[in-house]
Parts: sequence; C-alpha cells; structure tokens
Amino acid sequence: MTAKRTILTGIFLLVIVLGLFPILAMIAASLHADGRWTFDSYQGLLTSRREWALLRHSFVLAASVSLLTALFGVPLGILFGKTDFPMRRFFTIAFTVPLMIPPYITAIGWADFLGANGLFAKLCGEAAAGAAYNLLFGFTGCLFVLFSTFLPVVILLTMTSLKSVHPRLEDAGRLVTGWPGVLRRITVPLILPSILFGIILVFLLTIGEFGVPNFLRYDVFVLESFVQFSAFYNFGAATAAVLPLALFTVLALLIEWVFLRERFHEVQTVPEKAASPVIELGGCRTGSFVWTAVFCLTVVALPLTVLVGRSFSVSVYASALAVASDSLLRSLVYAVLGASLLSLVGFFMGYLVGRQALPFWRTADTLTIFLFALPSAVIGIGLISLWNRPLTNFIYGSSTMIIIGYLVKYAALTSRITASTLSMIPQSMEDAGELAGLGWMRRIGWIVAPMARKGLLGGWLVGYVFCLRDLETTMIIYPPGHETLPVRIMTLMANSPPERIAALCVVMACATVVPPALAWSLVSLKRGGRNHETH
Amino acid sequence: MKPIELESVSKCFNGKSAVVDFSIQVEKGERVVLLGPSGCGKTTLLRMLAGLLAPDEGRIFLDGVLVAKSGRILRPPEERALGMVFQDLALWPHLSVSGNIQLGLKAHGLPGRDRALRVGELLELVEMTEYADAKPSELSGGQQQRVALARALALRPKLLLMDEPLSNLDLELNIKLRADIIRLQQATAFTLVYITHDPEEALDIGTRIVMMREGRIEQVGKEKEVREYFEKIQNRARAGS
Amino acid sequence: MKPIVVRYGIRPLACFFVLIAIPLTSLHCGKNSANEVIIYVSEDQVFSEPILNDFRRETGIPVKAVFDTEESKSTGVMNRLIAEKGNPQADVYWANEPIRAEVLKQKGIAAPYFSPAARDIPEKFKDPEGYWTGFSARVRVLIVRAALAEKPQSVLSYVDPLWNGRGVIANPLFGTTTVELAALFVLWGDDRAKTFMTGMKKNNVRISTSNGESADFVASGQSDFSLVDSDDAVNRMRQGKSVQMIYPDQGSGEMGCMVVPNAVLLVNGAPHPAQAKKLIDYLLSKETERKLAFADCAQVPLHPSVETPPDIRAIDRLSTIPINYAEVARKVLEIQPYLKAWLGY
Repeated sequence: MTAKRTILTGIFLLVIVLGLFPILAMIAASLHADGRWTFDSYQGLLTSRREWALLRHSFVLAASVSLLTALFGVPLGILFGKTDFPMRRFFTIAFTVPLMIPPYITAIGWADFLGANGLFAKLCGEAAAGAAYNLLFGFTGCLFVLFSTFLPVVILLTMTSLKSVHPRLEDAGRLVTGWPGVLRRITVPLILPSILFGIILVFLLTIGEFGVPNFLRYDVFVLESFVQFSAFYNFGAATAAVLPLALFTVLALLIEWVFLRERFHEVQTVPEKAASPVIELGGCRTGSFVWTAVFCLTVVALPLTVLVGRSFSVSVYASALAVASDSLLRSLVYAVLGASLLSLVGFFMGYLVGRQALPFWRTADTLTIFLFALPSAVIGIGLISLWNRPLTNFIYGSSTMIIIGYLVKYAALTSRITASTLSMIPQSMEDAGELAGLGWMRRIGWIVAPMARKGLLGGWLVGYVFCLRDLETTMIIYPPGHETLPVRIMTLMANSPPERIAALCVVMACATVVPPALAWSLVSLKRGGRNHETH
Repeated sequence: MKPIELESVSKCFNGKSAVVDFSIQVEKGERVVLLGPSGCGKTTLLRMLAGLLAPDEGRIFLDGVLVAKSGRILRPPEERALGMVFQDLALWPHLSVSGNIQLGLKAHGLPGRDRALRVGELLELVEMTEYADAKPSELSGGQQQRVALARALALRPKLLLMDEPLSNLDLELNIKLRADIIRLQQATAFTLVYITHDPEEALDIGTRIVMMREGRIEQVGKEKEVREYFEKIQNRARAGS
Repeated sequence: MKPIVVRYGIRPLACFFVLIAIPLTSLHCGKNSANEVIIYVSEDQVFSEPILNDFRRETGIPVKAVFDTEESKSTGVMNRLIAEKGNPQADVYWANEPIRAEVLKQKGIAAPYFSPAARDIPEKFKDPEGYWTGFSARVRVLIVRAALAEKPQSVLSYVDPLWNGRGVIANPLFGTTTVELAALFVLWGDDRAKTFMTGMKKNNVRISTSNGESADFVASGQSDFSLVDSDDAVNRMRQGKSVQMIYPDQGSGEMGCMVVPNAVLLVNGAPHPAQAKKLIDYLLSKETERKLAFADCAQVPLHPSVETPPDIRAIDRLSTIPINYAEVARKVLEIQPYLKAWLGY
C-alpha cells in the first residue's frame, strides 16, 4: 500500500472511529429499547405536530439568516474586495469579530442594551426599550443576532472568490458595459458557486445553533434534542430528533454536488502577477462609507460596547479573572492544540476531497459535513457512550476528549478550506514533483504544503476560533475540574453579578480576536517588508 | 531495445475515446513530434508515457521494460528516468530557479556540492546563470521556459517529454527556443517526444512527425506527409462549410 | 550519472502518526490520583464552588467538579451521570433538588450512605434507605411587585381572575417548577391538578425559561408575581429591586409552601469512596448550611439551630407541603407528556 493510500485512508478511518462510531452507537441505542428493536423513538417524531412546528421554525430561521447574510454579505464583500473603499481591511476585521465569539455573548450584549436598565431605555424611554426588548426575544432577535454572527462568512467567501476571477474576463466585459454591468453579468455569476456555498454553510451553522435561540426563547428543532436529554433523559428520542437535521445536511450537500461542483472549476487559476481591476467609487465613496460605518457600529460594535461598558472597572476584571483565569488558559491551550490537529487532519482530508484522491472521497466529505451539522449534544453523549469504558479510561478522563470533540465537530471546516486552497494549485505542480522523483510525502511537504501555506494558516486560524468558542460539545465531555472559559461563563451566568459575566464575555472576545489579529498583522508586516525589499 | 514502444494503446474518459489503438516505436535519439488539433489525444498519450495515467488497453515499453499495461502502471513516473516540460511549465513559485532545478536532485540524495555543480551546469546550458536566485514570477515567458527545460534535464533523463512548451511565446522567441531545444538534444542525446499543433514548429523540431486525429495516427512522415495532412484538413474544413 | 530510483521510507509515516498521537496523549491529566474527589454539581457554581474550595482548604483533598448550567439549558451533569453509569467517573453528586437524586436512585446510579453529619436533619428530608440526604433548602415562594396594593398570597392566585395575565411561571418541564407541580398532582390528585393547570392557561399565565427570568420579569414590572425559588427572590431583594417575598399558603388549613432541599448522594461505584464520604459529611454539616444561608442563594438550613440572616425564615417557622419525594419523583416522569401537551409541544 502506498504512503498516499495509507495516510489518506488512515485519516478517513480516524474520523470514522472518532466521529461516526459514537453516532452509530447512539442510533443503535435509539432503535433498541427494553431488549427489542423498535422505531418508537422515531414514530413519535413523525406524528407530533410540535416536531413539525419546530422543524418549520428551524428551517425558516436558517433560510432567513442565509438569505439575509447573502443580501448584505455579497455587496459588502465586493465593496471590501474590489473597490477603493476606505479602511476596507479594518471593516473586514470588524465584521469578522461576531463570528469569532460565541453567539450567545452577542445575544447577552443586545439583551443588556435593550433591557429595562439598559442604554436604550435611558436614551429612548422605557416604553420603546420594552417593545424592542420583546422584539429581541423571539424570531426577530434570533434572526438579527445570527445574521450579525454569520455575515462575515459570506463577506469573506465573496472576497476570496473575487480573487479567483481572471482580470481579463472583467476587462473584456468593461469594453462593452460599465462596472455595474460587469459585476452583474460577469463577476457575480462567476463567483456564484462560492456565494451559494457560503449560503449553505450559513444555513448549516444556523440550523445547528442552540445557544442563541435558547437564550432568546425561540423554539427550534435542536431544542428538541436538549429537551429529550434534560427533561426526559431519553437518549433514544434525543437521537431520533437528530434525523431531520441530518436530512437537511444531506439536502444541502446534494444541492452543492448537483449545482455547484462542476461550476467551481469554471473559475480559472489567476496568475499571481495579474492585478485585479479596482472599482473606483468616486462620488459614492462617502455615502457608502457612512452607511457601512453605521451598519458596523450597529451590528458589531454596539453589543460588545455594552458589555465593555457594563464591566468597565479594573476590580470587576480582577474578580472575573480570579474565578476564570485557569479556564482561560485551558481554553487557549485546547484551542491551539485543537487547531493544530484540525489543520493536520483537515489538510489530508481536504487533499482527499479536493484532489478526489481515492474512490471514497465523496463519502469522506459527506461524513465531515454531517458531523459538523449534528447537534453537539448528540456528539457529546455519543462520545461518552463510546469512550467511557475501563479500557479507554485513560483517554476519557483526560482533556483529550475535548480535542476529540473539536476534531469530530470541526474537521469539515479545515478540510474544505484545504480543498479550496488546493483547487488553486494546478495538478501539474505535483506531477512535476513526481517526475522529479519525489515520493508523495515529499511532494506534500516540499511542494503542496508550501504552496498552500496561506490556506493552511487560514485553516488554522478558523480552527482556533471555532475551538476556542465551542460550548455545547465541550460542556458535555470536559473532565471534572477542566472546564473551558465558554463553559465557565455559562455555568457562572446563573446568579453571578452581571458585571462579572460581561467582563468574562469581553475577555472571551479578546482571547478569540487578538491572536488571529496579531497573526494577520505579522503576516501583513512580513509581506510589506518583502515588497519594500523588492522595490 | 528501443527507448519507446507502444502496442495498441487505448484510453477512454467517461466513455469517450481519447487514444485509440495507438502503436509506435521510437528509436534512440529521435525527435518525434505528435502533431494534431486540440483534443486529438496528444497530451493523454504523453501522460501515459510519463506514467501519470494508465492505459486502458495495450502495453507500453521503455527501454524494453514493460512499464504499463491494461489499466495498470507497473513502473511509477519517478522510476522511468524521464523528464517532462508541462504546458503550463509548472514551475514551483515558492522556490527560486536553482531551487526548482535541484529539487529532483535533492530527492535522489545528491550531496549539496554535487547539486550545486549540476545546477550550475544546467543554468549555463540554458543561459540562465545570472537568474539562479530569481523566483519564477520574476522571469519572462521565455526565461521560465528555459528554467523548465533545465529542471527536466536535471536528472539526465534518457527521454524528454514536452507538452506544447512554446505555445504561449511570441514568434521570435518561439523560433529561438526551438533552436535551443534541438541544440540541447543533440548535445545530450536524449530521445524527445514533443507535442504541438503548429506544423512549422513540428517540421522544425521533429525528425519524425506523427499526425493524429481523434486519438489515432492519421499519418507519419516529414514534409511531404505533413503537407498532405494539412490538405486533408483544409478539404474537410471546406466540405464542412 | 545514473538516475537513482526513489524508495519510499517508513520515517514520514511514523512521524505522521507520532504527530497525531502526541497531542492526544499529552493531555492525560493525571487521572486516578488516589487522594482526590470528583463531584458533579447541579447547584449554581457561584454558590457551590466556595463550599468546595473551603473543603479542599480544610481537608487537603483536591476537588474536581463538573458544574451544571441553568435548568432549562441543562444537558450536563444528570445526563453525564446516566451515560457514565457503566463506568462511573464521579464520586458525589450535589443535586439542587431531591427529585434528580430520586431519579438517579431509581436508575441504580446512587449508593446508600448514612452520614453522621445528617443525624439532626429531619427524616422527611432524607431518603429512608440512605440513597440521598437533603440539606440547605430553597423554599418555593411568591416574588411580588412591592408596589402592588394587594398582593397574592397563594399558589391559587394563578387561577384567580384578579391576576389575569399578570402572573409568570418558569417552564414547567424543568427544575423546581416541575417538582412543585408534581407535588400538587400528588397532593390534589390528577383531576384537580389538571383543572388548576387549565385554569392557569385560561388566566393567561406567561411562561419564562427559568425561575431567575421569572424573578427578573417581576423585578422589572413586566409581571406582578411569580412562583420562584427563595434564592431568586432574596437575590433580587438584596439587589435593591422593588420586590417582596411571600411564603404562600401559610394560613390555617392551607396547604403550605414547598421545600426543595439540595440533595447529596454517593455515586454507585465511585472511584474514591472514602474521600466521597468525607465530602458528603462536609456538605451535610451545620457550617455548610450556615454559609449557604448567608450567601446570596439564601438557603434555609435543615439542621435545627443554625444561624440564619434575618430575611430568611427558619424551617420550623414554615408551614410546608407534606411531600414523599419518591412519590413526587415518579409523578414528575409520569406527568411529563401532560406538561409537554400543556405547553403546546
């Protein structure tokens, strides 16, 4: 067996063992009760009016968030990625902040702002605040918070895919029409597969989201799993409740395969030197800047500012860190380890998928996306079922379980990022290495990985953010005495002083945002220095 | 033992034939040009020779050794002692010119000093010595072409494959590089299999020209046969219109 | 120079698998240390953690804890205990109400232990077979807006047309609200209890996600009263909110209020049984009850003669609903489908 086949198969098997086996164990348990095989857990699901209502809620919320993020995200992505809009790098980072922090923290910020004692009440009166507060708790609030959280997904995908449009294609269009026409008829149609992929991703993220709908009291289908767990201790019914979500995932993947796969390859590889034409905004510059700034202030800055304002005291931060500094350190360590492992596994998984390297590449891709979309409670209980045995106690009782949870939940992200990065690297680069006598591992190490380094770094940063902000998976499997900061915030929320919670939320946000921002700045400085040397 | 022997080699993609029942024997030191329109199977044939694709049917021998047959690659590309220049050149952008050339030497375990000597030799051969530390993105098309050629020759291959290497260059550069290729081939005595769709280029470079159409050999020869081949193409085109 | 054929080596493969293995095994956190105790806690971390820290300081035994989240969000410790039944990780479970302890007893997850520290705790707050012991109770009270001229005095205010649309109750599928409703089902019988539930709906009761949220609704004036735990009410009072706490149904012949003690149990198959028993003894001590009474959770000691702050009424000065917790635990599971339907699930 070649190294390529060994390693890629090994990675695939690793994800199966860590991710699929626990779920299969849960599904088997849900079909086997009181010593017999039964569909009881599933029958209730299909016949209950309540379940269908929750499904509708989940679907409507996910679809609304997806469409709204596309409506705003694509124009913003074009604005930041293709025009001379001022401070575009700043705004790109700013809009990315809500994605980097646990969404329920944003919801807490809004609840604080609109609450009876909040800033909004002081500015606009209690009646208006009351009305807004009521609006927050429900569909509208969930839509708004999740929209602000997942908007950067579409913005970033749009900006990235704009780079892959060959400038000559747009130049040819500009000979016959102005920029609006070029964007409408050439650029956007070419990047449509990426946009649609972004919409699918946001859809899956929203449909699996529990924290925000629960906090804002909007009943969604994922809640059903939680209700079955926490009210009824009914693991079978909780697993059965996962089935519709799994169907949504398969549907999303089908859409991607049928409509998008082939079209991804229509976009040509753009030579590095080819400069993408920049749209000059001219008279629209000021207006678009003002609008974007107001939008950014509202969607991003406001909830975080409220949290900062509420916790604005050294003593509050001191007391917050006194109760949570150990959790913060653990979170950082786990996130770094998790991101590193995710990058390694994601790289090979992405190679398998992106290069279609082995016959089961499609199964591998489906599996990672399916695990990504599953409610974390199911993954967590499944992991306990599989690993909590005397033989594997040395793993179960350790923080390794948290890392395994990260791997199972987020492998899809790093895998897809790698696959996307590799699609920009021509196969001939590897072929040339093969002909030069390099074995597969050397081709990976000396050619593919160096060429894909930006994508790998991006994947690592994405893995870091998602690992750091993870709550639902960690909550179920963390070993005693080793909770992470998001879990600590959640457990302290009941009856802790609101200022302390606000301070912890700010600390959480900083821990998530600062390291990637530093990394990006370092990379930019290095690139700037290299450009300076060249000139 | 002939350097290349293909016996009834065929290849299909998604039910569509790319190469059909292709047989040829190439003598040592020959410069064989595969000439034909886009989609006639030239690149597929080259990739099968390189070991990057397996033939669906038929057998491929290199130096008398069976290297591939009916769906199986018996000898992988790195063991075939050949070099290849790709249509997009495939120069590794993160490595310098000397880095690109010596990567294969490094993979074969050549010590640093010997690598440096060999790289110097090749850079002199292709007249690119002063660009040793440059990155591919800093070079012109012709310069990149010469680096790709030097890289392909690094391991002293007995067989060199070139896939439309000059298609993106202007006429003057094209002609100059043709002369360089012939000069190098005569100096190092490798067997050359060269792909092009330009008859002038084919006539200039090839000692034998294999004209292909729809995956098959239509004609083999030199000037006279090439002229006949293009008369056929013109007649077909007129009949079609 | 003849070209050299590349042979693939085992080194890169081995390096790869080492790279995978290192992060996974390096996180082994020294489990199975002999002198430690592992506790799963459903009581709010902000109240329970200081007690556990004090235990660690006083005994030198390290405590590793897993804390729960608010009731409606909980998928945490109860499910972990049930899922880990085959290979228990926890030594002790600190439940914030005895029904959870009963459920665990019924599922075979608790082990009997009669703590000497619990000798003075009234028998009605302990499992007769020793599977769990109650301590530091919350009382189910009415939190009412201080500004109200007339204030509700009974749980039956929920069905009084005078309070139409003005009451709020926490989601009855979770926590102490479920327990209280189950107790009413046991006390009144199913028919009367269902009539009460229907009456609440007709009286336009508002449903919140938790007792804490209910208390906040009353404190902000969005509702006039709610049935909550005493710690939620005391907490808001100590924050200076304009609310009062009323012990419901205290009149002669009335049913009394419900007492919800914390409950501690020894996990069946606990990895550190000796340390577990020491921790249980500590939790059941008078000193722990005193600390929890003076903390913001304001819990009522069950030991007699434990010092309490002035805003907490001692247990012997309360008229309480007589409860068989085992019966209530069974009823909790029994009425779940009814409660689901009542909520419209």
